[in-house]
Amino acid sequence: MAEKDKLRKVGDILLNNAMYIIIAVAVVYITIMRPSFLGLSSIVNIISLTAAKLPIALGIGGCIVLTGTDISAGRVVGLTACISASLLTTAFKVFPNMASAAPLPLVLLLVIGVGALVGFVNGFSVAKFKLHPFIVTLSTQLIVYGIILMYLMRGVNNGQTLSGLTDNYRSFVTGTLFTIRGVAVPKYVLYAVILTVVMWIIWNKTTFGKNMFAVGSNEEAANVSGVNVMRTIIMVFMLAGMMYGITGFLDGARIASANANTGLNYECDAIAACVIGGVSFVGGIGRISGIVVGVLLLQIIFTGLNFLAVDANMLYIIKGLIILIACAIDMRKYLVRK
Amino acid sequence: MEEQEKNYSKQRETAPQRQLRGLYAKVNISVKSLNIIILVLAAAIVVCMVIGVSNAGFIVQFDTLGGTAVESQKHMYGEVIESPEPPSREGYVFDGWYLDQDATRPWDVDNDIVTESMTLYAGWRLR
Amino acid sequence: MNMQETNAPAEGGTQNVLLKMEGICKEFPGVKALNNVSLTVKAGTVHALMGENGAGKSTLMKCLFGVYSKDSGDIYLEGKKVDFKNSKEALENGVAMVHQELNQALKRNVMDNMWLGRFPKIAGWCPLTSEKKMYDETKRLFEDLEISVDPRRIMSTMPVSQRQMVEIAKAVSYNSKVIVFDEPTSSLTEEEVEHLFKIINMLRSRGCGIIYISHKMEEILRISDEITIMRDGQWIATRSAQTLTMNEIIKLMVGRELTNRYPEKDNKVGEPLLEVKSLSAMYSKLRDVSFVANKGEVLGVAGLDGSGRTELLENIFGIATRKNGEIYLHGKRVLNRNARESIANKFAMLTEERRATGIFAIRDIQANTTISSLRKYRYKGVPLLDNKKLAESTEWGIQAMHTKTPSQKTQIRSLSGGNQQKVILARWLLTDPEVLLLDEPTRGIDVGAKYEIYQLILNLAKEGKTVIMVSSEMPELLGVCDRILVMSGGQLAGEVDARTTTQEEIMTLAAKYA
Repeated sequence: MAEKDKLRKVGDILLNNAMYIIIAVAVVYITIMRPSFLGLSSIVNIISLTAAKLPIALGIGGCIVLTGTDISAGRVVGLTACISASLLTTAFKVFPNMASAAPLPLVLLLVIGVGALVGFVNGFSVAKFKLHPFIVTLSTQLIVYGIILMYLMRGVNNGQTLSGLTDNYRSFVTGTLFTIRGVAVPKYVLYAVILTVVMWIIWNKTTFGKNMFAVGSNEEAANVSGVNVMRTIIMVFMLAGMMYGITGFLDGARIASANANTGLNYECDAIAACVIGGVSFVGGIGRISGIVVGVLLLQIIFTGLNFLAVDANMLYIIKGLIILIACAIDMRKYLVRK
Repeated sequence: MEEQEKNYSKQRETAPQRQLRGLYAKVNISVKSLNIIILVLAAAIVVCMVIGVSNAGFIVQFDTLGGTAVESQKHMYGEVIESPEPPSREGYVFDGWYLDQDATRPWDVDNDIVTESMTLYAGWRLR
Repeated sequence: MNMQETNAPAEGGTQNVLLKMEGICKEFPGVKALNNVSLTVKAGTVHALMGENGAGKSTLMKCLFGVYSKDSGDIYLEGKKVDFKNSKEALENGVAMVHQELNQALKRNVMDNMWLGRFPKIAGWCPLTSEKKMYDETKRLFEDLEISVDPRRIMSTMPVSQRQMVEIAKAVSYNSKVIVFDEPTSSLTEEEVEHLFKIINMLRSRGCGIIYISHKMEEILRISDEITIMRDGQWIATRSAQTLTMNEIIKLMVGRELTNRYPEKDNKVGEPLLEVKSLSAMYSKLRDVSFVANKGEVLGVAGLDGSGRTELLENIFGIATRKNGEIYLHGKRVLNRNARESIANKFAMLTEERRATGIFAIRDIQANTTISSLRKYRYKGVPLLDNKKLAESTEWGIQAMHTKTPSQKTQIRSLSGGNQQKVILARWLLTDPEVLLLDEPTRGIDVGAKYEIYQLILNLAKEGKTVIMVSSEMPELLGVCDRILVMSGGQLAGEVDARTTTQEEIMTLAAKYA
């Protein structure tokens, strides 16, 4: 009997960590095949890509804690990237009348504001009209995409990719933070670290954070306990929107251009990362550290597969399977045995 | 203390109702079938990775934008492309390969390394 | 002391036994819901099942229909041992139930509901359903039962009584031998009740065995042949209906001794604190309730299920929409438009459905304790929370309530019902309330923990707080409260002094507008 119990426990551990086991095995294989995968430049590359995708995951994490989701994220990143790239440029195609690039802090505030606005629309519809976040963010996703396309048609741009960004914008984002043995670490890594700390404080140290978890785990009880459920939901979505705005701002300079496809499918990566990192769809469960680990793991596996020259089309399939298996494992953890 | 802990976990297991909420509120599945699902998905991921690795290689395509056709190439990560035969086009002079159609981001054929599947566009100058 | 009586009806006789449940036991964590209960239903009789709320009637039925798995005991249907896994299996074997809350597809029409799960086909080989067969069968059945409902009518356009008739017809259409009626008359007019009784009599004469669950004495005495009475999950008595009077039934239902089950009452009632004037609800039948509650008083609210007890508390606390009515605290009007405002006005409310609206199941004790009073734990001048203060308050809550928990970081779902309730009580005490609204504070809690909760309630009253407590267990109200408001059909049927009243008086009042 005891042996059977033991066996079951081992099985439990294996299944609950199936995801990590697969990733670990894959990393070992990749390292054997291509030792340079664990080289310094490769590691720095993984860390900076993780940093680039972290803010958006931090934003979506809050929505998932509320048992919701946000699939408008990628398009909001696209819109804010286009806005940044159109204002902080040397070739004024969207606004032909502009003489010089707009001030950097102003643009940053503007894109954060745009993100917050979309987040407010999402949050308000979810909180006030009790629509499912999936439906709401699906429609805002489409609306934002339409706005991007129209925005890119403005002036003399005619839908082209925006490039020719100003130097101080590019250096503000991609400039060298410090170098380790000749490998440069870009500045946006620092920004991602700052955002992570800020989000950790918001989630763990503020009334809003505690309320968010309460609403996520039992909305009815939260209402009875005197939590302002509507405000909490709206604020979670607005905070997420701000994160997308910042991501857009960073991404414009990181990729050195912005077009209608910038940010496409970012939300998929972010949601996958959150679920891998233990932010549960059960609601009311999640940690910032988990999200960071989730983004990092996802980045490691995909950089590794890229090292093996696995085709991008196959990566999509693998990504989809990873989301499925992460959900199944997540569900398993909270399922009561019958 | 230990016994107390034991008691609590026992209570949890005999709880008469499921306590899932959120997106899983309507999930009605046994742990056993979930185990099978997880194993099947894990196997599927491994299979996809194996297929991906065995078909490894990034396809580099060349779009000559109206010039003579150039055959696509397959490369592993970190390789440089083999310099293809320069295409020709009536009334234009070929001036190298670019990452975009507008010929703004040039590709250094001898030094740039392949990191993903991509299409290179020919740059043309009026003769 | 158990007052079990041993005058079960003589076995056999002229009537044959249809359904026999023997020695059924069922235990939930911390609660013995059924303890060795037996029930015998004979063909061609109506067998009434009586007991207070929580006596175990519905648990017994759920064990019959396989909703709960019984811990021990046997069920025999016509002498054969059965163990249904779900209500569908029971239905196919001739055991049907007409539910208190109707489970019907309201958007569909009558015959769709009748044939749900077994739609007749045009022919054996053809997967198309035959509307005509459905219609004809339904029509024939309705004529048989003298129900005048168009089989094509959409369910949601019909009154509850007619929907119930459809449910009965469905049970009959399965050729059910045993039909359980769970509070069938709670939403029927007198005329409809007559019709229902006619149908029941018809079924009885066909040789069906009917189990009839109800609170209404007159009905039971009129319709039933035998009566089984349950109390506290135990079988108390089974007797022929002719030999019983209403008073005897009540005595059997409530007849337990009250010694030592409640702490000594030593709270002192002070001056008036809360005044509620002609409170009516917008979306429930609560109407025109007025009362005064005093400082240091435990005010009970009694009534049957659905009499508006819970709605009364919800309307005071502002989580249900009020139509009109005013609330005064210390003589000053308070609005209490939502829970936040009510908490600011020093109200607190323990909800009835602990799992659904009380606990945050996957959050830990600390989060569950401090959620309503988070503002208190901020650093001065900074909108950040102080972990030390959070931990201190939680610790206070655990100590003051004598909560048994391994640590503050334990998930609340792993605690027993009584301990969960203590955590929620602590949550509310941390908001410093003057008026506590407690809805079924001891539901699903075992006897020992109940005593502790009573003690806590009385201590609060001693501190000068006003406690308004809803309960469906009358002895509990008599043991803990100073005064008791009796609700009936959404109205205040009367107010009694807990020291001088009797359960019989309360029961009579509770039936006043029912």
